[in-house]
Amino acid sequence: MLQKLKELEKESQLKIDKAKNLEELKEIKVRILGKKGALTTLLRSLGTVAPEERPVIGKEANNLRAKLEQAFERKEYELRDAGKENQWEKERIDITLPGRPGLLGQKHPLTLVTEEIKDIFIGLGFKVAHGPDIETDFYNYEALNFPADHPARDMQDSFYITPQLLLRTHTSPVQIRVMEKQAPELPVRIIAPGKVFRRDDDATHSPMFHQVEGLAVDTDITFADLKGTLLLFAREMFGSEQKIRLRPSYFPFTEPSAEVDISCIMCAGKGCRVCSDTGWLEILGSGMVHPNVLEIAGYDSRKVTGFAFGMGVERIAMLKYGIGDLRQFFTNDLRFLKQFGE
Amino acid sequence: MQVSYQWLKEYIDPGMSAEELAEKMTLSGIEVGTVEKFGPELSGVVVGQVLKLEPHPGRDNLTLVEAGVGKKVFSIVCGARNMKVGDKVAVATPGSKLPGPRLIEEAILYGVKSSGMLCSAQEIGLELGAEDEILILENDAPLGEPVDRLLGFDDEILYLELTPNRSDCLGMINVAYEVAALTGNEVKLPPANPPEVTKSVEDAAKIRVDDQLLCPRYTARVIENIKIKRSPLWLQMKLLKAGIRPISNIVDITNYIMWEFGQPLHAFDLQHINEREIIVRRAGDDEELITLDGVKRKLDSDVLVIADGSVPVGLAGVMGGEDTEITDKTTEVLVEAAAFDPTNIRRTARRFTLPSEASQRFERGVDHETVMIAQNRAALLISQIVGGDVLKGVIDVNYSKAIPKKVNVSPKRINKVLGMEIARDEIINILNRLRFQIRENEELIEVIVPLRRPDITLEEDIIEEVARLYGYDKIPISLPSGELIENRESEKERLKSQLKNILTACGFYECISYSFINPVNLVRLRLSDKDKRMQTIPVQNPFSEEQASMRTTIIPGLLKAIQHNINHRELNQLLFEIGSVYEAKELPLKDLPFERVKICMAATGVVPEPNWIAPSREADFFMVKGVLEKVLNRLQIDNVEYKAESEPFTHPTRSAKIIIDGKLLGFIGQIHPEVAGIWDLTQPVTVCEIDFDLLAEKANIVPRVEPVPRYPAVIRDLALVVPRDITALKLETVMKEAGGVILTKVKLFDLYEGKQIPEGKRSLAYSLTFRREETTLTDAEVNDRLEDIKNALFSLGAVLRA
Repeated sequence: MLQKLKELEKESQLKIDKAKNLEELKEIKVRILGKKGALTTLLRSLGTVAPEERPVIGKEANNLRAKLEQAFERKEYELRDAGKENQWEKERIDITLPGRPGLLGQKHPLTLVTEEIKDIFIGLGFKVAHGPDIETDFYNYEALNFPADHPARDMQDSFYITPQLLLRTHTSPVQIRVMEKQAPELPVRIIAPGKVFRRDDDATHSPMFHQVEGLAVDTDITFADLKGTLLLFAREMFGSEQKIRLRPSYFPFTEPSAEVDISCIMCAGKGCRVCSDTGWLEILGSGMVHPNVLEIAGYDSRKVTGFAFGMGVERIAMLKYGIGDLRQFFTNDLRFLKQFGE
Repeated sequence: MQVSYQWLKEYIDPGMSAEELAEKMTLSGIEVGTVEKFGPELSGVVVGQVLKLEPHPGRDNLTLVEAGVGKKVFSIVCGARNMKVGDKVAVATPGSKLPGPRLIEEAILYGVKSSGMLCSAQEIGLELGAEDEILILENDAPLGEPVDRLLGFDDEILYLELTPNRSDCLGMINVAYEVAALTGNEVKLPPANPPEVTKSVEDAAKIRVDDQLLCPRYTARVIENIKIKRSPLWLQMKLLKAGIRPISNIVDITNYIMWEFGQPLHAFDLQHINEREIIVRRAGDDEELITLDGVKRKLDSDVLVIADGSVPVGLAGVMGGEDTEITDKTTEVLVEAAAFDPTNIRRTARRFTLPSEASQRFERGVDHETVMIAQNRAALLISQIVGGDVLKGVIDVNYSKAIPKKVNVSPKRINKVLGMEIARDEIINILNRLRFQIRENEELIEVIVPLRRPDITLEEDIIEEVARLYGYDKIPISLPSGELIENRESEKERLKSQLKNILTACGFYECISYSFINPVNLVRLRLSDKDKRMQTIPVQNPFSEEQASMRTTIIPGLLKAIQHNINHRELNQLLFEIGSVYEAKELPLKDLPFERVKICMAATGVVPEPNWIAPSREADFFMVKGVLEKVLNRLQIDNVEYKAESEPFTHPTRSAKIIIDGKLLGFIGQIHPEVAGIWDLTQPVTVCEIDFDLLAEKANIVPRVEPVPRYPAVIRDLALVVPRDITALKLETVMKEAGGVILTKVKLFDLYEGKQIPEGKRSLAYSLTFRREETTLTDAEVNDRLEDIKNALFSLGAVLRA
């Protein structure tokens, strides 16, 4: 019996495929699935089958019916469409024509990168803080352990408004502003994005650029925490294969201090033109908050510790997007901006 | 700081190559920028001796030289005249390669065969001597020895990029101490014990220090019967490797000592010191000094000078004076080794823009103990190299109170700060390698920091020393633990980001322009002197006028961008910037100014870009207003008023002030055609600038939601012809009044002026939506209301359009 069903299936499929028009197809359908059709006839002989086999055969027969019905339907579509060639031709569109232009602008690449940095650190439990662009000498220098006439002030050439007011040379003053406000409450965990200004103007320096500052202060923040946080940041920003390298350095407001390199994203650390064959790219400065800074901001440096870091947004954007010229960021050239989406 | 690897090896054996050392130093905090080979490739240039000199038969200005190079003798035609028979010279034998590159071969020069060349210093790549002067080598130079080997070309120079705290490494010996800390190897100090004659220095000169604070230590030695000439070649070579130009023996020795110890020295021609007395004092307000560079400097009491019995003879620690300079005629010198107040030196060097190798070291502070060692070492070298009589004794005026600092450190705290476990023994080992003395005191370690490391004053400084020498790479990684904090950005800050999303969705590109402004650009906007935006905050020390002031509006920034893009054939532009402008409370500024955030838009050209399917419309006033409406809709601000009023730089009849609750939010307007001309804008531009704070204050940052209506609306269209002077606002107001609460929306869907419409009139078509919240409206009800609306409009002079 099963054998017969299979034969019927094969035979029917052949007939369906060969049908030339809808009328013919309909006729075939009646002959197979109709009241007196082949399938019905076959099922009538179910009585001759052993009782225990009947349910199996019955199920197979029903499956076959459904299958054939679908096959008829598909063939019907095919035959109907074939009959409308003229109509289709009349309605033809040139699908190679461009689509209807919608409007879409884009955020500035520095905004895109800043938002990404914010997202990463918000995810790590840091809060976003802000400070003014025009700062006092106290917040920009004095409180950050740059005494007047200290050679360290030469590291950052400032634009002055008055002898006591200047354009902030880094986002670090936000560290002091936040701690002053919060002391002695713990923990402090902030990042502070913003504009900074230095008296430098050449192919690789812009008088205005952007930084993101980070600060964490608590009862037991360690250098290892700094290293872990920055490694996580580097991996989220540049990919999970990233390695970081810390080199001892000097900033008046951190001790110990470290410059942080990431493995070169162009050559994956093998050495290339971008990383001057070192395999490493410097991306930020960091360190443990200097006790003088903690004290001036209202914390007991014997009881709390902290780490801080600061990174240049332009630098990160240049690496991330492969931008070669720093000036591109501030000419607002649409041929540049539109590369981030049009 | 340039460090010659071979020179460094005189003080310590690093036990590794220059490259390895550079890597190791960089990773432990003394950054080595690059390592460069010293001297060019040189082949075939060997030591020779001048055996015979004869005039060239044909040319007066040439000489025939026979130069012996061991067994071989070369006949060479030479243009220089400074050599004599017996001199050792650098002979470029035929086939030699000189820098350039230049190949030396046999040649016939004016009828005479020349087999090679005698080299000048410059020809072998050294910045020494004159171009037409043959390099004369030391008499003991072995014949046939390659000159590059003789002169130490097989050396590498480490370029240190020092941070301000590690100025100790501005001296080779302290670099050696750093290498010792890395390797544990011993530092060999050079001898500093000059032979003295019986005559006492006290009989030759007097020293008086009037300002002990500015000059805590001043030492002097006198050396008599000297002859000034060039330094021996080995000394000149060392200075070249340090990047210093050799001058003459005495000056070269003082520079050599500065490089060796980081202690600047100065030599005075003692015969030109009046009364043979040195007085260290502040200058008088009317005094002047001509410094070594020939510039006359006006002095005052802020400047510390070295004076003689009558006048200043040098700017202390910065630059010597011309009158007492060492010259060929000098026979007697007074050598100064001193310590000065760093701040005073820094101020003087800045004031006269005279940063020098000496001032750079003094302003970072020199080691008061090393002053004496350097003084004695200099005297030894002078007696060895120059000869002369070193007078007995050193005049030492010493007010120094510098004593080695004691810092207590606890291994427990070191490990707590670093977040790891470094064993106590390892910590002690590191401190030993640094040559810091230690005393163990139960849990604590007392560290006595040598004077050469003034940067170390706190326990944290020791923690850094331990960490950097232990290796930052060995510090483990962890993440801060601690209480959770509410750390989302404030609603207002997030609003900025939302606005950027809306504006970019409307097709606008975000710009960032400088926060500086050239004030001329405000005049170019025709702002009057009384305009608040003219009260810019000036920058004291800009590079150029472009940074002369802080901006009070973003408009010039965006106009510049528009202009730039038009110049580059990007004609269709939608730009915006959200950024601060700076408003002085008073000028000159006494306090921090207001930093007010503005949202600025600028549009020009057509939207969308011309294309085959959708019509392009001019990016005009209504385009910008439409975007602004999108912003206001999102923020659910609906009580906005537009007043037809222009800015000095906008079109008189195509501008509006935007007002919310009687407060000025900002403006929109097409740039005035004349202003457009001034800015070279060749097509109409519309700008808008609004205040972010006021917007945020009036906004529902979190949208408020009302229930979706349950009953259907009835929509009726109304086409009117009205006099042109009746504004759309007026029509809308009248319709709303007459329509009452069931008229929920009035929407203009067509506007037409021209054919079929009488002169002075225009046609407006509105779609009116009626709806009642609690029941379905009947036709009759809506018709009644529509009649009321029509009647109200008729009384304005409107008629229905057929």
